[in-house]
Amino acid sequence: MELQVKGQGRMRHPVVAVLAVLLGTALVVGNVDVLSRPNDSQAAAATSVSLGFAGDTGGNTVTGKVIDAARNAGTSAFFNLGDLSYSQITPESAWCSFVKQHAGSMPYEFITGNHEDDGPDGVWSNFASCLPDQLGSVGNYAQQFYTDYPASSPLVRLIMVSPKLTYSGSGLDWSYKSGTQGYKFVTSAIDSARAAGIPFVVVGMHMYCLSMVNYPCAASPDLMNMLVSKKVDLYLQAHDHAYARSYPLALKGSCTAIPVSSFNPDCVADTNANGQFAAGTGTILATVGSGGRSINSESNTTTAPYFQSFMGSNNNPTYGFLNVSVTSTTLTGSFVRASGGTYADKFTITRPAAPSPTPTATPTATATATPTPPPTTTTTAPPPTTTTAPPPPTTAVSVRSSASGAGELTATGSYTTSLPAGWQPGDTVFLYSQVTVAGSANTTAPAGWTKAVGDFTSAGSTSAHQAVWYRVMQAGDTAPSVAEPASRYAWSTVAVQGANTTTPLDVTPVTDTNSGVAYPDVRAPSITPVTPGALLLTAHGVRNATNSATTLFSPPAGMTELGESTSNIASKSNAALEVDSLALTDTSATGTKTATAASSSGALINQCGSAIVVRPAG
Amino acid sequence: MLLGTLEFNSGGATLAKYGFFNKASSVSGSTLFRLGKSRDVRPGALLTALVLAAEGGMVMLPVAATAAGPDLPAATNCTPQLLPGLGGRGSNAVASSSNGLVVGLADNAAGESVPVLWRNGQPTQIAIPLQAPAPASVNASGVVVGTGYDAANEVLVGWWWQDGQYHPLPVNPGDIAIPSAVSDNGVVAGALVADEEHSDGPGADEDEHPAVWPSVTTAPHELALPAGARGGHAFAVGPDGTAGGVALGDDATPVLWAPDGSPKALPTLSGKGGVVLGIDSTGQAVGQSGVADGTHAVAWAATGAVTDVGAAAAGATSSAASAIAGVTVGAGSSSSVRGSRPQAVIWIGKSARILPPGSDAQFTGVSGSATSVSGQGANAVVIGFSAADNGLRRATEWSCK
Repeated sequence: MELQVKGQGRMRHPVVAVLAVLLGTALVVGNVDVLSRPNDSQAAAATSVSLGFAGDTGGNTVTGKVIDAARNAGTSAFFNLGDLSYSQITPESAWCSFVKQHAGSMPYEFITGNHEDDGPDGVWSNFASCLPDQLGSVGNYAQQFYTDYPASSPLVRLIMVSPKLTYSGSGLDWSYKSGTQGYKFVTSAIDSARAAGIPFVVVGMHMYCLSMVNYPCAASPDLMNMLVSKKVDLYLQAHDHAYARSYPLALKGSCTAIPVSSFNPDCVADTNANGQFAAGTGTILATVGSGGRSINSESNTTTAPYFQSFMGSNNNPTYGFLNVSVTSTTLTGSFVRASGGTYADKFTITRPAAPSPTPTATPTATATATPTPPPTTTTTAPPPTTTTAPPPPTTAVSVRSSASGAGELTATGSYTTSLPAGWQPGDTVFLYSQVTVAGSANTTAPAGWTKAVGDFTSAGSTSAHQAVWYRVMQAGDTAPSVAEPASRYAWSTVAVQGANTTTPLDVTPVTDTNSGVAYPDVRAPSITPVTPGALLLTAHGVRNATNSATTLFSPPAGMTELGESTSNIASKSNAALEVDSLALTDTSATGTKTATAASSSGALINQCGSAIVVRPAG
Repeated sequence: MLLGTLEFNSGGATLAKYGFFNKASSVSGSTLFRLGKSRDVRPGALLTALVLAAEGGMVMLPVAATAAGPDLPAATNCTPQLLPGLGGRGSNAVASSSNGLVVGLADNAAGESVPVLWRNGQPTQIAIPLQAPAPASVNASGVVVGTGYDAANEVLVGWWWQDGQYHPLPVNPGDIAIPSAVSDNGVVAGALVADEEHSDGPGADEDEHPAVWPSVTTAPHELALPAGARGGHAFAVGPDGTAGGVALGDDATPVLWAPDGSPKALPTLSGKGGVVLGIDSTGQAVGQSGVADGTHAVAWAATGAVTDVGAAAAGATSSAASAIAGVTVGAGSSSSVRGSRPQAVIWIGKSARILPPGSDAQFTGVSGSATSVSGQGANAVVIGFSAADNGLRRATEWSCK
């Protein structure tokens, strides 16, 4: 490898590669155990996972904000797409410390970028030493590897690779041209994931190929077209300091390869305006170079028609990350803001339910002789957080029963609810009220009931109200009535047993006005308990803005539906409500919970959501 | 969903009736726009327009727009026309000059996307000896600026072109020029980015820094940044040499740079960022400002005061790209319009209307975007693109009477 100083002066460091070889020798032996056994740190049977991605991070205040945003969103693990420190914090170990301070217990993984493949802004192997793999990856961590997540029952395979990077002394071809070791690694990893029945495959790398900057493919056209031909679900890249997300791309008709300097509409498989796509339709490509270093402009011309949404210095400049939430049937990507503007993006890939995948902890890809970082077996990081937990012990706080209803008040008055069947004195009953009316609503708590969530409204309409009250039940209690103006309403009551009757609310409940949330999603916010073994209750309410239309719901992934109700009044906008529960085990942030609405007519809804954590007794 | 007060023109009045377009007055860049010379544009034209509207039949009715409410009305006095291409399927008009020159891209019969200049609606390919050349702006003298890729040296090149001659824009060693707009006076606004070592392949992943070129043959001046900013980009240039764009630090700050290069940070609607994308001949800047759900088109008066223009677009997201006196164009989307697909939008004052996508026998437009507006005689001429359901774009010119 040449020692080269050119342009802004990137300098190659062959000595580092020698050190990496020496250090990596230990890993060749040491990693055998890591790579061949299941990763105990991952949840046994998660039904959904939430992963974060961003590259081009640097080491400044925004870098920290992006990591903080991921941690606060309940992200199970974060993957840096390369170009790490930009020498804004040196040496590598100092940058790793900075990252760890912000990431906390959230595993933080990375794939190498062109600024640290062999310099000039540190060296990948040093970063890998201080920020080692925590997820039992297969292959050469930080260079070319894959991770099944969660390991024991994988929902997604993440394949991270290094096209066009320079690893001094590796002796390998990193071009990812057809037939090269890297190309074979990726094809093998994809094929084995499909064979194992893993629902989704995501491939990430630093260098871009198709992008919204006026450069040719910097990675590998062969690799890009192979990923599209194999209908990889999500293809992530960085290097372009912006965000751009494509429609599903496919090779069909006149599109035998994706052109990167012109637009061929035959390469676009679907242009659903709401970002809802069927799995297998094509490959969604996303550039996520918004991790903190800087933001550049995007060219809204030649290749722009491939992209459904973009952010750059010329469009709502916003630092943030791509949050990818995966269940067995859906992969949902959401751009999450950390600093700067207000940009948001969301897309969902849905596939039919399939048989459960089998664990795939054993390496299946071709091993390489690439220098590797020091062994990861010494890692003591806590396990990644998942959104589903094992069943709680029988003494845990739990839902006994629930009831729901809906209707209309044609004049100011009160509507009467029902108490959940079989409630017992000492139970804590929560009363949810969703009201559609212009002006104020939910202003008065029923007699003897305490406010849990004060009335708030949807970002989409101040006519969509939600509030929650609770009461520790006593013998002889009757169903509460709720005073409201003339309005449409929906309600649910939920009886919880085993709650702390002195302090039923583990933490202050939180609300979500659903700003920027598109139909059919109805989101409840993430909340972070302080007591292990608590119970999460989420509410998802809507005002259906299409007159006469009613709304039904599907619960958020992994949650249990407790109540679902909708008013059904002709020629008026109706109210609808969904309440769900989830037993919690630890004090990790729950992550946002999104129910799916189904409107009987139209797709215009004004959403709001709330989350409550019920503290267990004792 | 209450989206504010929507005003619209329910009468058949024409723009010319209110004296908007006495003469040509606009130039703009691709996503960056500024007007050309200020000749014949009357100060306070917006106020005049509003007064005339009230007196002359341009009825401005306040309408409470809701998500379930009426669609954003179409601009019935604007007629779309698909511009002819170069034998291929797609095209895109990215900027126009104050005298009606239009630049953009068009596919040729081989499917290659090449730069094109439309004069009187007729396309001519611009010969640029670079890969993927992309024009960004044109002025009344026919000076076109843009970027392209020099494959031999693996570097992006900023260029200018006039009368069939290609020239690289001057830069200092180690810098890459990214021109975004050229004024009728020949001032170029854009950005400089540090070139990098190329062994890892093409790309420039360093900070952009705002810059102006006093002329296409003069070395650029890097523009000063407001305190706390680490980079930025100038997207627009006004007739007096004032540049507009964005400064980026932890946040995104809309900025005007005076002709002497001194920066002035502009206010935003929500405190969460904004970008100047155009400057009209009166010195009014237009662009976008972050709001809770996206961005709204905004206008900044010469005093710096910000006005939420996009609230009238009835959608969560809108952005203004170019303006002439009292008339602003850009894009917006609304959940009640064509499934939320972005639409080209024209604002007269704060009243928004959709510019209907163009269609012909082979192409049916369902969405679009307006990137530049100029006054041509009695008409306002807007350029941009219409897009089909499959994403294919066609360069479009709307003539508004």
